[in-house]
Order: sequence, then structure tokens, then C-alpha cells
Amino acid sequence: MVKIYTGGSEKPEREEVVEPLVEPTPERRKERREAPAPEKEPEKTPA
Amino acid sequence: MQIPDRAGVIVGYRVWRVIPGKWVDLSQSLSAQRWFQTWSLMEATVAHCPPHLQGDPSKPLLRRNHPHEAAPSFGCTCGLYARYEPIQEVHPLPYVVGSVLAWGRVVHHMDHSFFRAEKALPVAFVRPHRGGGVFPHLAEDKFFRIADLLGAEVVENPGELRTYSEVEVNKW
Repeated sequence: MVKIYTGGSEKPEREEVVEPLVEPTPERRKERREAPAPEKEPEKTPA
Repeated sequence: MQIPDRAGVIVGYRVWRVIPGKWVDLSQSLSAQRWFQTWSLMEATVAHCPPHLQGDPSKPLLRRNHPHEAAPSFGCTCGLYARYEPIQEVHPLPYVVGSVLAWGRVVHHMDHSFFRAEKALPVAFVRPHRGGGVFPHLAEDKFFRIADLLGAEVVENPGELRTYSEVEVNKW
């Protein structure tokens, strides 16, 4: 639930919860960098 | 359990301090800029809410089981701080400028151009300059070992930092 702040001297404006499907870690970032790029389908040429 | 408002991560920019030398283990060598709060080099750093930071008198003084359960929150100053925009000022070693991916509970302070997050992982740094700090060679050596352990990119300027980080944030 997004909350909107309504009082206080140090005014935060908005609170939200953001969650990735898979949490980034150094190891997962490295794995993704090293994974081969998905192959592109060859473009279809008109007959 | 928190119900997400949206999927993904957000990008932020901040300054850390590298603790030089052999007398501090590498795992304890990336610290917040202004006080000794160690950032993890193996996984996301998770915010916790020390009792002395709690500004809300209705909060319990000490949460024994889940110290970071409510960090950050409106009634407090806790959380992992980052700015929305890359930091342009040059910070000589032992300070380093970089970017994080952040997620979990996030409190936005749009008026002041920063947010406080529950979890964050450094992903890139601007190549630091040697300055007037103590032990600059040792700090530089530590810095590159920290970046290597984190798998963080080392870029040349704040513009490159933004470009790299904005690509990275879209992968998650």
C-alpha cells in the first residue's frame, strides 16, 4: 500500500514497497553478465 | 510479509567511505560516508533501525527479533540513503561515489532529492581520485578489491555512472 505522509517536520512524501522477482546479488549479476545473449530469430524475408 | 506496490528495483546514487589497510577485514571495509555502518559485499545490505534513531515515541525501544522489520519508516531517519541523481562533486579517497539498486520498503523525500530504502546493492562506482585522505594507496587497493567482490562496474564519470546504472536497473 502506498502511504502519503500528512504530518511531521521532516516531511517524507511517499512510501512504497518495491520488490524484484529475483533479488540482485553480486553472484546473480555476474551470472547474468556471463549468460549468452538469447539468439535472435532470423528475419523472415518476403517470398 | 510486505505486499509489493510494484515489481522491480530503483536506482540511487550515494557516497561511501573505504576503510583502508589490513587492520580492517575486506568484508568490513565499505562503510557509510558519515558513520560506521558497514555495507555487505556479498549480498544486499539491509537497513536496520537502531533505537537511538527512532523518532517515533510510539515505537518500541528495541526489536529483538526483527530489528529491520520497519526500516525505513515515516517516523524515523533510518534506512539506506541514496539520491535520485548522480553525485557530481568529486570525492577524493577514502570516499567513493557510486550507484545502488534498491528495493523493499522505500520512503521517498522528493523535496530533498533522496530516498531511504530497506535493501540496496552497490552496482557501480566512479573511479576514485587520490586526495588528501590518509593512506590513499591502501584505500585505492581496498577499493578495487571491494569493486571486484561486488562485481561492480568502475566508470570514469557521473554521466557514465548514470548510463550504466539505468541499464542495470531495467534488468531486475
